[in-house]
Amino acid sequence: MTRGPTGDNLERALAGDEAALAAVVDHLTPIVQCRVARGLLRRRDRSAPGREVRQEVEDLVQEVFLVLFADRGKVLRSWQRERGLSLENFVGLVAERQTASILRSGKRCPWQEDPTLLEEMDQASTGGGPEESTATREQLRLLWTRMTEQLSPLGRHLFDLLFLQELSPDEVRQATGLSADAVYAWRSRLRRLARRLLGEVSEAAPTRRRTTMRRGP
Amino acid sequence: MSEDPLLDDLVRVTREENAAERSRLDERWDRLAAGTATAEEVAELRALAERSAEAAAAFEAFRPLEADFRQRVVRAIREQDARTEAAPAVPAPARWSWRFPRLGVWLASGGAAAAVTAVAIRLAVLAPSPLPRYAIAEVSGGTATMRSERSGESPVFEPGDPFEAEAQPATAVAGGEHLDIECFLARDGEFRRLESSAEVDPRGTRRLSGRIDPDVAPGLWRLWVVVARPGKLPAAADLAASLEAGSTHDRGWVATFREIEIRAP
Repeated sequence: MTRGPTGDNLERALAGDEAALAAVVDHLTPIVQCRVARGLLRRRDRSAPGREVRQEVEDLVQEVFLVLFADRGKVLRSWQRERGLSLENFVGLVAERQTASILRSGKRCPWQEDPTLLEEMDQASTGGGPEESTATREQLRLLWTRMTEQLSPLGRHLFDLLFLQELSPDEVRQATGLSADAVYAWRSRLRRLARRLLGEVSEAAPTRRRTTMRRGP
Repeated sequence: MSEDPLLDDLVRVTREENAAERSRLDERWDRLAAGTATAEEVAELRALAERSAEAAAAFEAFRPLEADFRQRVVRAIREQDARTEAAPAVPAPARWSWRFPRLGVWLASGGAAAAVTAVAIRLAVLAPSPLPRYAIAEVSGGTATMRSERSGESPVFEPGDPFEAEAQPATAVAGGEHLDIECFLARDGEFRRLESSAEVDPRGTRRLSGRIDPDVAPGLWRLWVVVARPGKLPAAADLAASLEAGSTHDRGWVATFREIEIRAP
Protein backbone atom coordinates (compact mmCIF):
# COMPACT_ATOMS: atom_id res chain seq x y z
CA MET A 1 0.00 0.00 0.00
CA THR A 2 1.40 3.41 -0.88
CA ARG A 3 2.50 5.71 1.92
CA GLY A 4 -0.54 7.69 2.98
CA PRO A 5 -1.41 10.72 5.05
CA THR A 6 0.79 11.63 7.93
CA GLY A 7 -0.15 12.52 11.45
CA ASP A 8 -0.05 16.14 10.24
CA ASN A 9 -2.56 15.47 7.47
CA LEU A 10 -4.78 13.73 9.98
CA GLU A 11 -4.50 16.63 12.39
CA ARG A 12 -5.48 19.08 9.65
CA ALA A 13 -8.38 16.87 8.67
CA LEU A 14 -9.57 16.86 12.28
CA ALA A 15 -9.20 20.65 12.32
CA GLY A 16 -11.63 20.94 9.41
CA ASP A 17 -9.30 21.12 6.41
CA GLU A 18 -11.40 19.62 3.62
CA ALA A 19 -8.50 18.72 1.34
CA ALA A 20 -6.75 16.93 4.20
CA LEU A 21 -10.01 15.14 5.07
CA ALA A 22 -10.36 13.91 1.49
CA ALA A 23 -6.75 12.68 1.55
CA VAL A 24 -7.31 10.82 4.82
CA VAL A 25 -10.48 9.19 3.48
CA ASP A 26 -8.70 8.23 0.25
CA HIS A 27 -5.86 6.61 2.15
CA LEU A 28 -7.95 4.77 4.73
CA THR A 29 -10.79 3.58 2.48
CA PRO A 30 -9.04 0.41 1.23
CA ILE A 31 -8.02 -0.51 4.78
CA VAL A 32 -11.53 -0.05 6.12
CA GLN A 33 -13.04 -1.80 3.10
CA CYS A 34 -10.86 -4.89 3.51
CA ARG A 35 -11.71 -5.31 7.18
CA VAL A 36 -15.40 -4.67 6.53
CA ALA A 37 -15.43 -7.08 3.59
CA ARG A 38 -13.78 -9.87 5.55
CA GLY A 39 -16.09 -9.37 8.51
CA LEU A 40 -19.15 -9.25 6.29
CA LEU A 41 -18.25 -12.30 4.20
CA ARG A 42 -17.47 -14.28 7.33
CA ARG A 43 -20.92 -13.64 8.78
CA ARG A 44 -23.34 -13.00 5.98
CA ASP A 45 -26.04 -15.30 4.72
CA ARG A 46 -24.48 -16.90 1.68
CA SER A 47 -27.80 -16.93 -0.14
CA ALA A 48 -27.81 -13.15 -0.55
CA PRO A 49 -26.96 -12.01 -4.09
CA GLY A 50 -23.66 -10.25 -4.79
CA ARG A 51 -25.31 -6.92 -5.50
CA GLU A 52 -26.46 -6.61 -1.88
CA VAL A 53 -22.96 -7.38 -0.68
CA ARG A 54 -21.69 -4.32 -2.51
CA GLN A 55 -24.30 -2.09 -0.92
CA GLU A 56 -23.64 -3.57 2.51
CA VAL A 57 -19.91 -2.95 2.13
CA GLU A 58 -20.49 0.67 1.09
CA ASP A 59 -22.89 1.27 3.95
CA LEU A 60 -20.57 -0.28 6.53
CA VAL A 61 -17.49 1.54 5.23
CA GLN A 62 -19.30 4.86 5.45
CA GLU A 63 -20.54 3.98 8.91
CA VAL A 64 -17.00 3.24 10.09
CA PHE A 65 -15.80 6.63 8.81
CA LEU A 66 -18.65 8.36 10.59
CA VAL A 67 -17.63 6.61 13.81
CA LEU A 68 -14.00 7.62 13.31
CA PHE A 69 -14.85 11.29 12.82
CA ALA A 70 -17.83 11.59 15.17
CA ASP A 71 -17.69 14.14 17.97
CA ARG A 72 -14.82 16.07 16.36
CA GLY A 73 -12.83 12.95 15.69
CA LYS A 74 -12.89 11.53 19.20
CA VAL A 75 -12.03 8.01 18.05
CA LEU A 76 -9.18 9.08 15.77
CA ARG A 77 -7.83 11.38 18.45
CA SER A 78 -7.58 8.41 20.81
CA TRP A 79 -4.94 6.79 18.55
CA GLN A 80 -1.55 6.89 20.19
CA ARG A 81 1.36 6.11 17.89
CA GLU A 82 3.65 5.36 20.78
CA ARG A 83 1.59 2.26 21.66
CA GLY A 84 3.12 0.50 18.66
CA LEU A 85 -0.12 0.42 16.69
CA SER A 86 0.04 2.12 13.29
CA LEU A 87 -2.79 4.42 12.29
CA GLU A 88 -3.78 1.96 9.59
CA ASN A 89 -3.93 -0.96 12.00
CA PHE A 90 -5.81 1.15 14.55
CA VAL A 91 -8.41 2.15 11.98
CA GLY A 92 -8.62 -1.46 10.76
CA LEU A 93 -9.40 -2.67 14.27
CA VAL A 94 -12.07 0.01 14.67
CA ALA A 95 -13.57 -1.21 11.40
CA GLU A 96 -13.61 -4.82 12.63
CA ARG A 97 -15.20 -3.79 15.89
CA GLN A 98 -17.96 -1.75 14.30
CA THR A 99 -18.62 -4.36 11.61
CA ALA A 100 -19.01 -7.09 14.24
CA SER A 101 -21.31 -4.94 16.34
CA ILE A 102 -23.51 -3.71 13.50
CA LEU A 103 -23.90 -7.15 11.95
CA ARG A 104 -24.77 -8.70 15.29
CA SER A 105 -27.02 -6.05 16.78
CA GLY A 106 -27.74 -3.62 13.96
CA LYS A 107 -26.18 -0.86 16.06
CA ARG A 108 -22.88 0.97 16.15
CA CYS A 109 -20.62 -0.07 18.96
CA PRO A 110 -20.53 2.93 21.29
CA TRP A 111 -17.02 4.28 21.62
CA GLN A 112 -15.68 3.79 25.11
CA GLU A 113 -12.28 2.68 26.20
CA ASP A 114 -12.67 -0.94 27.26
CA PRO A 115 -15.46 -0.38 29.80
CA THR A 116 -15.45 -4.04 30.66
CA LEU A 117 -11.96 -3.61 31.98
CA LEU A 118 -13.09 -1.26 34.74
CA GLU A 119 -15.41 -1.90 37.67
CA GLU A 120 -17.33 -4.77 36.02
CA MET A 121 -14.16 -6.75 35.53
CA ASP A 122 -13.13 -6.44 39.15
CA GLN A 123 -16.60 -7.40 40.31
CA ALA A 124 -16.83 -10.30 37.91
CA SER A 125 -13.61 -11.91 39.04
CA THR A 126 -14.09 -15.68 39.04
CA GLY A 127 -11.48 -16.30 41.67
CA GLY A 128 -9.32 -19.41 41.77
CA GLY A 129 -7.08 -20.62 38.97
CA PRO A 130 -7.82 -21.29 35.30
CA GLU A 131 -10.51 -23.87 34.68
CA GLU A 132 -10.46 -26.60 32.09
CA SER A 133 -12.07 -25.34 28.89
CA THR A 134 -15.33 -26.99 27.89
CA ALA A 135 -16.19 -24.58 25.12
CA THR A 136 -17.25 -25.83 21.72
CA ARG A 137 -15.63 -24.56 18.58
CA GLU A 138 -18.73 -22.58 17.71
CA GLN A 139 -18.76 -20.99 21.14
CA LEU A 140 -15.13 -20.02 20.77
CA ARG A 141 -15.90 -18.46 17.38
CA LEU A 142 -18.73 -16.48 18.95
CA LEU A 143 -16.48 -15.60 21.85
CA TRP A 144 -13.92 -14.15 19.46
CA THR A 145 -16.63 -12.09 17.75
CA ARG A 146 -17.77 -10.73 21.10
CA MET A 147 -14.23 -9.88 22.11
CA THR A 148 -13.78 -8.10 18.79
CA GLU A 149 -16.80 -5.95 19.65
CA GLN A 150 -15.80 -5.27 23.23
CA LEU A 151 -12.11 -4.52 23.00
CA SER A 152 -10.64 -1.22 21.91
CA PRO A 153 -7.92 -1.26 19.24
CA LEU A 154 -5.34 -1.14 22.02
CA GLY A 155 -6.98 -4.10 23.75
CA ARG A 156 -7.04 -6.08 20.52
CA HIS A 157 -3.44 -5.13 19.84
CA LEU A 158 -2.41 -6.37 23.26
CA PHE A 159 -4.37 -9.62 22.82
CA ASP A 160 -2.55 -10.14 19.54
CA LEU A 161 0.87 -9.46 21.06
CA LEU A 162 0.35 -11.40 24.30
CA PHE A 163 -1.62 -14.39 23.09
CA LEU A 164 -1.56 -14.71 19.30
CA GLN A 165 2.08 -13.75 18.89
CA GLU A 166 2.97 -15.04 22.38
CA LEU A 167 5.40 -12.22 23.09
CA SER A 168 6.80 -12.01 26.57
CA PRO A 169 5.53 -9.23 28.84
CA ASP A 170 8.87 -7.50 28.47
CA GLU A 171 8.64 -7.62 24.68
CA VAL A 172 5.10 -6.25 24.86
CA ARG A 173 6.28 -3.49 27.17
CA GLN A 174 8.93 -2.50 24.66
CA ALA A 175 6.53 -2.66 21.72
CA THR A 176 3.82 -0.56 23.34
CA GLY A 177 5.60 1.71 25.80
CA LEU A 178 3.28 0.52 28.55
CA SER A 179 4.69 -0.13 32.00
CA ALA A 180 5.32 -3.70 33.14
CA ASP A 181 2.46 -3.39 35.62
CA ALA A 182 0.09 -2.24 32.90
CA VAL A 183 1.04 -5.17 30.66
CA TYR A 184 0.45 -7.69 33.47
CA ALA A 185 -2.84 -5.99 34.33
CA TRP A 186 -3.98 -6.20 30.71
CA ARG A 187 -3.07 -9.88 30.56
CA SER A 188 -5.23 -10.64 33.60
CA ARG A 189 -8.08 -8.52 32.36
CA LEU A 190 -8.11 -10.12 28.94
CA ARG A 191 -8.36 -13.54 30.56
CA ARG A 192 -11.24 -12.43 32.78
CA LEU A 193 -13.00 -10.80 29.85
CA ALA A 194 -12.78 -14.00 27.85
CA ARG A 195 -14.30 -16.01 30.70
CA ARG A 196 -17.10 -13.53 31.26
CA LEU A 197 -18.01 -13.33 27.58
CA LEU A 198 -17.89 -17.10 27.23
CA GLY A 199 -20.45 -17.26 30.02
CA GLU A 200 -22.70 -14.87 28.09
CA VAL A 201 -22.24 -16.75 24.83
CA SER A 202 -23.02 -20.04 26.54
CA GLU A 203 -26.19 -18.65 28.11
CA ALA A 204 -27.40 -17.16 24.85
CA ALA A 205 -26.78 -20.18 22.59
CA PRO A 206 -28.89 -23.34 22.60
CA THR A 207 -27.20 -26.26 24.36
CA ARG A 208 -25.18 -28.38 21.98
CA ARG A 209 -23.00 -31.40 22.36
CA ARG A 210 -20.00 -30.29 24.32
CA THR A 211 -16.53 -31.52 23.56
CA THR A 212 -13.99 -31.17 26.28
CA MET A 213 -10.98 -29.53 24.68
CA ARG A 214 -7.83 -30.53 26.44
CA ARG A 215 -4.53 -28.82 26.16
CA GLY A 216 -2.02 -30.50 23.91
CA PRO A 217 1.21 -32.01 25.19
CA MET B 1 0.84 -21.48 25.92
CA SER B 2 -0.79 -19.08 28.33
CA GLU B 3 -1.45 -21.72 31.02
CA ASP B 4 -5.11 -20.84 30.74
CA PRO B 5 -7.03 -23.54 28.86
CA LEU B 6 -9.76 -21.20 27.67
CA LEU B 7 -7.30 -18.67 26.26
CA ASP B 8 -5.27 -21.47 24.70
CA ASP B 9 -8.35 -22.89 22.99
CA LEU B 10 -9.50 -19.43 21.91
CA VAL B 11 -6.09 -18.64 20.45
CA ARG B 12 -5.92 -21.98 18.67
CA VAL B 13 -9.36 -21.62 17.11
CA THR B 14 -8.71 -17.99 16.18
CA ARG B 15 -5.43 -18.90 14.48
CA GLU B 16 -7.10 -21.74 12.61
CA GLU B 17 -9.99 -19.52 11.52
CA ASN B 18 -7.59 -16.77 10.42
CA ALA B 19 -5.49 -19.24 8.45
CA ALA B 20 -8.58 -20.72 6.78
CA GLU B 21 -9.80 -17.26 5.86
CA ARG B 22 -6.41 -16.30 4.45
CA SER B 23 -6.41 -19.36 2.25
CA ARG B 24 -9.88 -18.45 0.91
CA LEU B 25 -9.26 -14.69 0.74
CA ASP B 26 -5.56 -14.20 0.22
CA GLU B 27 -3.71 -10.90 -0.19
CA ARG B 28 -4.75 -10.55 -3.82
CA TRP B 29 -8.17 -9.47 -2.54
CA ASP B 30 -6.63 -6.73 -0.37
CA ARG B 31 -4.69 -5.53 -3.39
CA LEU B 32 -7.89 -5.53 -5.42
CA ALA B 33 -9.50 -3.18 -2.90
CA ALA B 34 -6.42 -0.97 -2.80
CA GLY B 35 -6.30 -0.73 -6.59
CA THR B 36 -2.79 -2.22 -6.62
CA ALA B 37 -3.60 -5.69 -7.94
CA THR B 38 -1.85 -6.56 -11.19
CA ALA B 39 -3.93 -7.13 -14.32
CA GLU B 40 -3.12 -10.80 -13.98
CA GLU B 41 -4.37 -10.93 -10.41
CA VAL B 42 -7.60 -9.13 -11.32
CA ALA B 43 -8.16 -11.66 -14.11
CA GLU B 44 -7.53 -14.53 -11.67
CA LEU B 45 -9.99 -13.14 -9.16
CA ARG B 46 -12.56 -12.50 -11.85
CA ALA B 47 -12.20 -16.08 -13.04
CA LEU B 48 -12.74 -17.31 -9.48
CA ALA B 49 -15.83 -15.15 -9.23
CA GLU B 50 -17.27 -16.69 -12.36
CA ARG B 51 -16.87 -20.19 -10.94
CA SER B 52 -18.25 -19.71 -7.42
CA ALA B 53 -21.00 -17.68 -5.76
CA GLU B 54 -18.79 -17.16 -2.73
CA ALA B 55 -15.97 -15.74 -4.82
CA ALA B 56 -18.47 -13.61 -6.74
CA ALA B 57 -19.63 -12.07 -3.47
CA ALA B 58 -16.02 -11.51 -2.49
CA PHE B 59 -15.32 -9.80 -5.82
CA GLU B 60 -18.21 -7.41 -5.20
CA ALA B 61 -17.04 -6.78 -1.63
CA PHE B 62 -13.40 -6.09 -2.52
CA ARG B 63 -13.93 -4.26 -5.85
CA PRO B 64 -12.35 -0.80 -5.31
CA LEU B 65 -14.57 1.92 -3.89
CA GLU B 66 -14.26 4.69 -6.43
CA ALA B 67 -13.76 8.44 -6.09
CA ASP B 68 -17.47 9.28 -6.11
CA PHE B 69 -18.04 7.00 -3.12
CA ARG B 70 -15.16 8.60 -1.24
CA GLN B 71 -16.56 12.05 -1.98
CA ARG B 72 -19.90 10.89 -0.55
CA VAL B 73 -18.10 9.77 2.59
CA VAL B 74 -16.41 13.17 2.94
CA ARG B 75 -19.79 14.89 2.52
CA ALA B 76 -21.36 12.59 5.11
CA ILE B 77 -18.58 13.41 7.59
CA ARG B 78 -19.04 17.12 7.03
CA GLU B 79 -22.80 16.80 7.47
CA GLN B 80 -22.23 14.91 10.71
CA ASP B 81 -19.88 17.68 11.87
CA ALA B 82 -22.47 20.31 11.02
CA ARG B 83 -25.14 18.47 13.02
CA THR B 84 -22.76 18.21 15.97
CA GLU B 85 -22.03 21.92 15.92
CA ALA B 86 -25.64 23.02 15.41
CA ALA B 87 -27.19 24.99 18.31
CA PRO B 88 -29.55 23.01 20.56
CA ALA B 89 -33.22 23.32 19.64
CA VAL B 90 -35.45 25.74 21.61
CA PRO B 91 -38.10 23.76 23.55
CA ALA B 92 -41.55 23.70 21.90
CA PRO B 93 -43.67 26.42 23.56
CA ALA B 94 -46.86 24.34 23.33
CA ARG B 95 -45.68 22.19 26.24
CA TRP B 96 -46.39 25.07 28.64
CA SER B 97 -50.00 25.68 27.65
CA TRP B 98 -51.52 22.95 29.84
CA ARG B 99 -50.28 24.65 32.99
CA PHE B 100 -50.98 28.21 31.92
CA PRO B 101 -54.21 28.26 29.86
CA ARG B 102 -54.02 31.98 29.08
CA LEU B 103 -50.46 31.43 28.05
CA GLY B 104 -51.80 28.82 25.70
CA VAL B 105 -53.94 31.44 23.95
CA TRP B 106 -50.95 33.77 23.69
CA LEU B 107 -48.81 30.98 22.33
CA ALA B 108 -51.40 30.09 19.74
CA SER B 109 -51.50 33.70 18.56
CA GLY B 110 -47.77 33.58 17.69
CA GLY B 111 -46.55 35.43 20.75
CA ALA B 112 -44.15 32.63 21.53
CA ALA B 113 -42.36 32.99 18.25
CA ALA B 114 -41.55 36.63 18.95
CA ALA B 115 -40.48 35.88 22.52
CA VAL B 116 -38.27 32.96 21.52
CA THR B 117 -36.66 35.06 18.81
CA ALA B 118 -35.97 37.86 21.28
CA VAL B 119 -34.42 35.43 23.76
CA ALA B 120 -32.33 33.82 21.04
CA ILE B 121 -31.03 37.19 19.88
CA ARG B 122 -30.20 38.16 23.45
CA LEU B 123 -28.38 34.90 24.07
CA ALA B 124 -26.45 35.26 20.82
CA VAL B 125 -25.34 38.76 21.78
CA LEU B 126 -24.37 37.82 25.33
CA ALA B 127 -22.91 34.34 24.77
CA PRO B 128 -19.83 34.12 22.58
CA SER B 129 -19.88 31.52 19.83
CA PRO B 130 -17.97 28.27 20.27
CA LEU B 131 -14.33 28.45 19.30
CA PRO B 132 -13.37 26.98 15.93
CA ARG B 133 -10.95 24.11 15.70
CA TYR B 134 -7.28 24.96 15.94
CA ALA B 135 -4.33 23.21 14.32
CA ILE B 136 -0.64 23.53 15.07
CA ALA B 137 0.79 24.76 11.79
CA GLU B 138 4.42 24.86 12.89
CA VAL B 139 6.63 23.67 15.72
CA SER B 140 10.20 24.97 15.79
CA GLY B 141 13.18 24.96 18.07
CA GLY B 142 15.15 21.91 19.07
CA THR B 143 16.87 20.23 16.13
CA ALA B 144 14.41 21.10 13.33
CA THR B 145 11.55 23.27 12.26
CA MET B 146 8.56 21.19 11.33
CA ARG B 147 5.84 22.68 9.23
CA SER B 148 2.61 20.85 8.88
CA GLU B 149 3.47 19.67 5.36
CA ARG B 150 6.46 17.57 6.43
CA SER B 151 5.41 13.99 6.69
CA GLY B 152 5.89 11.20 9.16
CA GLU B 153 8.36 12.89 11.52
CA SER B 154 7.93 14.20 15.01
CA PRO B 155 9.86 17.35 15.91
CA VAL B 156 12.83 16.50 18.11
CA PHE B 157 13.85 18.37 21.24
CA GLU B 158 16.17 17.92 24.16
CA PRO B 159 15.16 18.71 27.71
CA GLY B 160 15.53 22.44 28.29
CA ASP B 161 15.28 23.36 24.57
CA PRO B 162 13.30 26.46 23.62
CA PHE B 163 10.34 25.89 21.32
CA GLU B 164 7.93 27.92 19.27
CA ALA B 165 4.54 26.80 18.06
CA GLU B 166 1.99 28.46 15.83
CA ALA B 167 -1.65 27.58 16.39
CA GLN B 168 -4.09 28.61 13.65
CA PRO B 169 -7.88 28.60 13.84
CA ALA B 170 -9.88 26.95 11.06
CA THR B 171 -11.92 30.16 10.78
CA ALA B 172 -11.42 33.70 12.07
CA VAL B 173 -12.33 34.04 15.72
CA ALA B 174 -14.49 36.94 16.90
CA GLY B 175 -12.56 38.53 19.75
CA GLY B 176 -9.52 36.50 18.76
CA GLU B 177 -7.08 38.94 20.29
CA HIS B 178 -8.52 38.29 23.77
CA LEU B 179 -8.10 34.52 23.93
CA ASP B 180 -6.03 32.74 26.56
CA ILE B 181 -3.56 30.07 25.47
CA GLU B 182 -1.53 27.49 27.35
CA CYS B 183 0.91 24.70 26.46
CA PHE B 184 1.19 21.31 28.10
CA LEU B 185 3.23 18.14 27.67
CA ALA B 186 1.39 14.87 28.20
CA ARG B 187 1.94 11.14 28.12
CA ASP B 188 1.06 8.08 30.19
CA GLY B 189 -0.93 10.00 32.76
CA GLU B 190 1.75 12.65 33.19
CA PHE B 191 0.55 16.18 32.41
CA ARG B 192 2.89 19.19 32.64
CA ARG B 193 2.13 22.83 32.05
CA LEU B 194 4.90 24.57 30.11
CA GLU B 195 5.80 28.19 30.75
CA SER B 196 5.13 30.10 27.54
CA SER B 197 4.29 33.52 26.15
CA ALA B 198 2.15 34.27 23.13
CA GLU B 199 1.90 36.77 20.31
CA VAL B 200 -1.53 37.16 18.84
CA ASP B 201 -3.23 38.47 15.75
CA PRO B 202 -6.85 39.61 15.54
CA ARG B 203 -7.80 36.50 13.53
CA GLY B 204 -6.94 34.34 16.52
CA THR B 205 -3.62 32.91 15.34
CA ARG B 206 -1.26 32.41 18.25
CA ARG B 207 2.51 32.17 18.10
CA LEU B 208 3.84 30.71 21.34
CA SER B 209 7.34 30.72 22.73
CA GLY B 210 8.36 28.54 25.60
CA ARG B 211 10.86 26.04 26.89
CA ILE B 212 10.75 22.27 27.31
CA ASP B 213 11.18 21.40 30.99
CA PRO B 214 14.76 20.31 31.76
CA ASP B 215 13.61 17.21 33.69
CA VAL B 216 11.39 15.73 30.98
CA ALA B 217 12.09 12.05 30.32
CA PRO B 218 13.04 11.01 26.77
CA GLY B 219 10.39 9.55 24.51
CA LEU B 220 7.32 10.53 22.51
CA TRP B 221 5.16 13.21 24.09
CA ARG B 222 2.11 15.18 23.04
CA LEU B 223 2.59 18.93 22.97
CA TRP B 224 -0.91 20.23 23.67
CA VAL B 225 -1.95 23.79 22.84
CA VAL B 226 -5.17 24.87 24.52
CA VAL B 227 -6.98 28.03 23.43
CA ALA B 228 -9.75 29.41 25.62
CA ARG B 229 -12.11 32.34 26.03
CA PRO B 230 -10.99 34.52 28.97
CA GLY B 231 -11.65 32.68 32.20
CA LYS B 232 -12.77 29.47 30.48
CA LEU B 233 -9.56 27.48 30.64
CA PRO B 234 -10.23 24.47 32.90
CA ALA B 235 -8.01 23.63 35.86
CA ALA B 236 -5.05 21.50 34.81
CA ALA B 237 -6.35 18.31 36.46
CA ASP B 238 -9.78 18.67 34.79
CA LEU B 239 -8.16 19.47 31.47
CA ALA B 240 -5.88 16.43 31.74
CA ALA B 241 -8.86 14.18 32.47
CA SER B 242 -10.81 15.59 29.52
CA LEU B 243 -7.94 15.15 27.09
CA GLU B 244 -7.20 11.65 28.37
CA ALA B 245 -10.85 10.75 27.73
CA GLY B 246 -10.60 12.05 24.17
CA SER B 247 -12.60 15.25 24.73
CA THR B 248 -10.68 18.10 23.13
CA HIS B 249 -13.17 20.93 23.27
CA ASP B 250 -15.96 22.55 25.17
CA ARG B 251 -17.88 25.70 24.42
CA GLY B 252 -15.18 27.92 25.95
CA TRP B 253 -11.97 26.10 24.99
CA VAL B 254 -10.43 23.92 22.34
CA ALA B 255 -7.25 21.84 22.34
CA THR B 256 -4.98 20.49 19.65
CA PHE B 257 -1.69 18.63 19.83
CA ARG B 258 1.44 17.71 17.95
CA GLU B 259 3.60 14.72 18.80
CA ILE B 260 7.17 15.60 19.65
CA GLU B 261 10.15 13.48 20.53
CA ILE B 262 12.32 14.28 23.49
CA ARG B 263 15.83 12.87 23.20
CA ALA B 264 18.46 12.67 25.86
CA PRO B 265 21.28 15.18 25.30
